[in-house]
Amino acid sequence: MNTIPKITVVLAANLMLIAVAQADVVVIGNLAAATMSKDEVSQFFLGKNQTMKPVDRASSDPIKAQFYQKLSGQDLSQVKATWSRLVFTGKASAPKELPDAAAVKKAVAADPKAIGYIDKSEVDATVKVLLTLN
Amino acid sequence: MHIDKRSPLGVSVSVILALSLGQVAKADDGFNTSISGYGTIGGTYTGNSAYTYIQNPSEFKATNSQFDLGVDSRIGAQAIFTYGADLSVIVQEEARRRGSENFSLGTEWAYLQYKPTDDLKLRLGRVALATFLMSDFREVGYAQTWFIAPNEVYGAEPFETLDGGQALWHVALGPVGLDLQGAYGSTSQTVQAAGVSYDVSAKSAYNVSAAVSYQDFLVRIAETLVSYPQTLPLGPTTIVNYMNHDKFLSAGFQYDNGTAIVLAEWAKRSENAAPLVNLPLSAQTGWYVAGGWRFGKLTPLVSYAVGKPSESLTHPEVATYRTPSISLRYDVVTNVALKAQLSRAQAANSAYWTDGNLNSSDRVTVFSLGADFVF
Repeated sequence: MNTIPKITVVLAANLMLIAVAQADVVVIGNLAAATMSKDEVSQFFLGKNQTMKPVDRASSDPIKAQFYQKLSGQDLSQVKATWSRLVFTGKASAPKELPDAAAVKKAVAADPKAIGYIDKSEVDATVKVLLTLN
Repeated sequence: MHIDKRSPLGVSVSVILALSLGQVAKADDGFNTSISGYGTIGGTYTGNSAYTYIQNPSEFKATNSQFDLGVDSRIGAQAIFTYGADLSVIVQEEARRRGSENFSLGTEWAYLQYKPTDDLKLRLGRVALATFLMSDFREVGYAQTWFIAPNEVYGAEPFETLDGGQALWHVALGPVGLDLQGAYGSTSQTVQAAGVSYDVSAKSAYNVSAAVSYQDFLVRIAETLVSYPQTLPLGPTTIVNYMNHDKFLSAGFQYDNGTAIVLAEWAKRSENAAPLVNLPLSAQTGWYVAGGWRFGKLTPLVSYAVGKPSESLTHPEVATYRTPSISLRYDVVTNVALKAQLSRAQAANSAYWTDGNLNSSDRVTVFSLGADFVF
């Protein structure tokens, strides 16, 4: 029964990890929303433009660090420092953190101004892909 | 505001933690509450016990060659009560050294905000007096790369808050952002001179600023004017009363591409001359340049600050003081940064000492160490 060599299992596991690490993150919006450039999305998620409503993921979720790195080259500490400047001066409220892709899709589908990010494999017909980050 | 003079630290922390424990409460009728906070645990000491260090005019208790946690440590909590999309009340309480008392609780911000459009915010209540580039978030160490901003600029303005009205207008024109801000109201501060503390109350104060941001660049200019009645004892029988118009002009620059950081700021303080002596109470120019680089979680930053007091009643000397500094930020986790900073300030530079020595050409090391955090 157990005919798969151990080395093959290890290689497969590593390939899966690489696949996860390099997975495309997509920015999603309401079906009525227009596509966006990377600069535009960056402005919304870093608080420079407040005409759209970004929804975020929890810091413990690996996709959050991937998203901000791909979007702006910043790590989560830098993003936190940027938002601290806005939050503690009353200039903006930090984006709401949602627990998973399903919650992000639900929020985005219900609000034409909401934008979020999920793994590309989790896109469905309820939302529109506004930008792909790879 | 002192709630309990016997244990201000305990009471302050209790109040702030009690607020924070609620974290986020929500209701379905459009009323939302969110709580967040910030703080710094850290201290400073000097390399020469003859010089006692202060950061700004609101702190009377200075630190010398013994590590003093009171000079830098602070904890603040902010509550935002939102009703619908346009109306909110924001209150920010902070415990820190005020006067000579550690962890004294005070209100940094407390205002009602109405947002008629996405770009415009109208506020009524207490707001920070945004004299300089980072005045708005001067208390939130985590939001800054260094541990302590240069005293030559940030230690010059004695007033910190403004009670009145404020309007903020933000426009995004593609990649260019424009921020216009104006505030008018009253302010007050307890300051100390020659060992005597007294209250300064200004019924008229304003601050206006314009900031333009483009990609990684930000440029901001601002003017602040605080007018208050001043009494000057010029001799045993001569007392002069006049209205002092205390004005700051400032220009700030920031470049931050995520890896490289460049900061520069210039500020000029001018006041009208007092009658009889024909000299202003204070007059000075200060500026700094700073450059840093992020190596992963480590960010070293080098800065060079210059302070030039002009001839005035509080600065009889006309001099140029130069202070090199180096700071290191280490981001331990997403919301905590450890920092160390070392400055070499001149003994004659009154921006750093309660009692500088005008006749000394010595340099004194100011060493600070601490942790900034947000929650």
